[in-house]
Amino acid sequence: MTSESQQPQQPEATGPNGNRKPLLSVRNLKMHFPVVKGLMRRTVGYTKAVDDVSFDVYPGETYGLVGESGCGKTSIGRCITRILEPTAGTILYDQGDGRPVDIANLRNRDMRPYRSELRMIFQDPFSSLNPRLPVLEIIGEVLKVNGIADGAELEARVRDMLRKVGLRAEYLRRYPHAFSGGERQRIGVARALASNPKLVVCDEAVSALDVSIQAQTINLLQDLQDEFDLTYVFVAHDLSVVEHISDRIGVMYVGKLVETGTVDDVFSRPRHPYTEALLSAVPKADPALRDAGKRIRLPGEVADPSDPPPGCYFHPRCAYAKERCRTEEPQMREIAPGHSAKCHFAHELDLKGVVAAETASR
Amino acid sequence: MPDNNLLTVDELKTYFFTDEGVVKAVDGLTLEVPRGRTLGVVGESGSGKSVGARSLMQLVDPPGRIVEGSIMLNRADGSTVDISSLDPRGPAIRAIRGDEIAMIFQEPMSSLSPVHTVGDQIGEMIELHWGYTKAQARDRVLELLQQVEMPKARGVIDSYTFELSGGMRQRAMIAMGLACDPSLLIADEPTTALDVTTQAVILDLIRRLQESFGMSVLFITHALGVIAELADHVAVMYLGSVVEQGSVMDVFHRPQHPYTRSLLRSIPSLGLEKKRRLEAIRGMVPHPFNRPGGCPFHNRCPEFMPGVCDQLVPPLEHLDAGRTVRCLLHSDVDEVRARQEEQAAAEREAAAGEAAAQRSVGKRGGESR
Repeated sequence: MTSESQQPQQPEATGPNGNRKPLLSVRNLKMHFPVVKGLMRRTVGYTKAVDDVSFDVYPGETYGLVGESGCGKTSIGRCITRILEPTAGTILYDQGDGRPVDIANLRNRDMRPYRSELRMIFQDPFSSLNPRLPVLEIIGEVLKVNGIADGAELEARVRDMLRKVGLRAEYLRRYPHAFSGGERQRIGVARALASNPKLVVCDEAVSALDVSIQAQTINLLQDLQDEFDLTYVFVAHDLSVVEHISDRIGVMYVGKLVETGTVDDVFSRPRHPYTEALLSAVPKADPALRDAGKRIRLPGEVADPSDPPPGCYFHPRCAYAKERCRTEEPQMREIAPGHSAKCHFAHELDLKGVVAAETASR
Repeated sequence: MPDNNLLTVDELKTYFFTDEGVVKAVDGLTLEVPRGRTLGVVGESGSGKSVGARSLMQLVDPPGRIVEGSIMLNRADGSTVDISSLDPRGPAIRAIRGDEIAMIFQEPMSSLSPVHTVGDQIGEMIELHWGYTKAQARDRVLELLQQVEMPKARGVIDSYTFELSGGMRQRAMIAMGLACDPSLLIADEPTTALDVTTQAVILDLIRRLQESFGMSVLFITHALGVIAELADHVAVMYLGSVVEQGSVMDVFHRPQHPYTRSLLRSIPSLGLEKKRRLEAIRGMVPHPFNRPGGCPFHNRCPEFMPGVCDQLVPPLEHLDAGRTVRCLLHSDVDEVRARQEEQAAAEREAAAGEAAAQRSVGKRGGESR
């Protein structure tokens, strides 16, 4: 019945939604890009952008993927929406009839019916909209191509969608350049949601926006999630935004998932030293917290994903690294219910989470 | 009082004269940069923070130029110079640029030369401004690279920028900014393109260097969190002018301008109460050609007073020492109205007089267009 047969090499506990089945089960996902060299374009190695990542996403939740540039979070989002073809692994998508389909291994042709259900919102509201198409066609394309609507019905649905994202329906025939950055991002949201998808991958969807527009867009995404019962995979580097919008998160470092759990657990009691360092580095918008707690500053640079260090990838920068970390790669283990970390010493370390901000009188 | 400030900017206006009209990018910027402290300038895109900073060094490209206001720099020898009156291409401003006021930018890759080694491009400045020989300059560059804690400084000095990581490039940029021991370092979004852990390291570095060099830092960013971490004083910009300035504690804990208050409420912050809905500011920053009359923020303001905010331009009000706000909630509205009506009447009269004069000239000359 369930996807238990394919089961997790890295088991994850039941989600926050009791024993509900995950909408998406990512198992041992790998996305390797060849490194080519010379005139003959010989492959000399592989950049392991995503390396053996497993996690579950439950219906109706927002799963945040965080990490620094080059950690592979965007590649995961692109594998889920099959913009990229994964190198290995499975992505089981529950289509609702109890027979999950493995979208990682579908041929492009067989993927088509799922493309309207798994959608994506992109980071850059300027380069992600075709400047030569009016809004009607940008948003309506998915409906037309998939034979969902046509003609007058299509136009009515696009109008409806525009209103839902807070744009005026009269803007239907305008081109993207007539809109501001925030409005364009709303068009991107409308395009993603037009086909009534089940899961939307938001890839840095609010990162390029100004503070005030960012807040409007975050609120819009949350309202639409409630209205359409959406599941989000929210890829972002801004931890404050991820904390705000996510139910559970996964922290990535050099192609590996190093920690996953509910936002509250991971942020208040991180179990991986990298998560601790990441949280410590986020600037807090309260000058009174400036000297609160110790700051962790990571030495050195992020490891090269085509030539990672042996053992735990994080050990050269880790303040808690011991001999074992240099030689043996840690496995993802559950430390507390629903909270897993990929660290040999996750049980022993007492890592520091976010200092609760005294809500300033504003 | 004037001696406490390294730089005093008063009612600076930088306009861009484009074919479609005049863009008032900086419109009445009033700032005080205290000696040896960090002033954070925060604003959204289009608030004029970058153009304002470039104006301080006369680095505004045509069709933009400074049309009004003053930028008084108190120099090390005790003299004062008004930068706004200097020729943007003249020797006077070139002696100041890089030497007394230095600037570091957001994108080190596009502001550093790709065809010169790190050592050569930093050394060139020192040779130019201080008259050092190549060898002397090289020693100084090495010292600078060590001060910005560049890993393997001895190797980096002969590397090209594409061989460095993002964090190392920003360190090279900072070393270049510090090369001539400036009294003011302007940092325009220097950490925006960096990852959060690298950003934290660079912010620490800037803080340490500021203490050891004793320079003033003008730190421009859109990120309130960065300001809260680094700045001593804060200026909040909106549509070309500073709407509020004060100490970092005052501005974050006792904001006086509705825009500052809204901005602080609209950002998600780590550790705040969960799942609180963000209080977004309605609308968006107006297009520069389409600036609202009166207070530029009035059409987005939660405390908008009809008949007041849309008619009167809020004057700068001094609350305490170093604490200013530009909002009619803090002004004597009747007095402001009387003053602005008087001013408008005087302007109308002057315009009418000028038009009459032109008409008479036109009649007599018979060929004026």
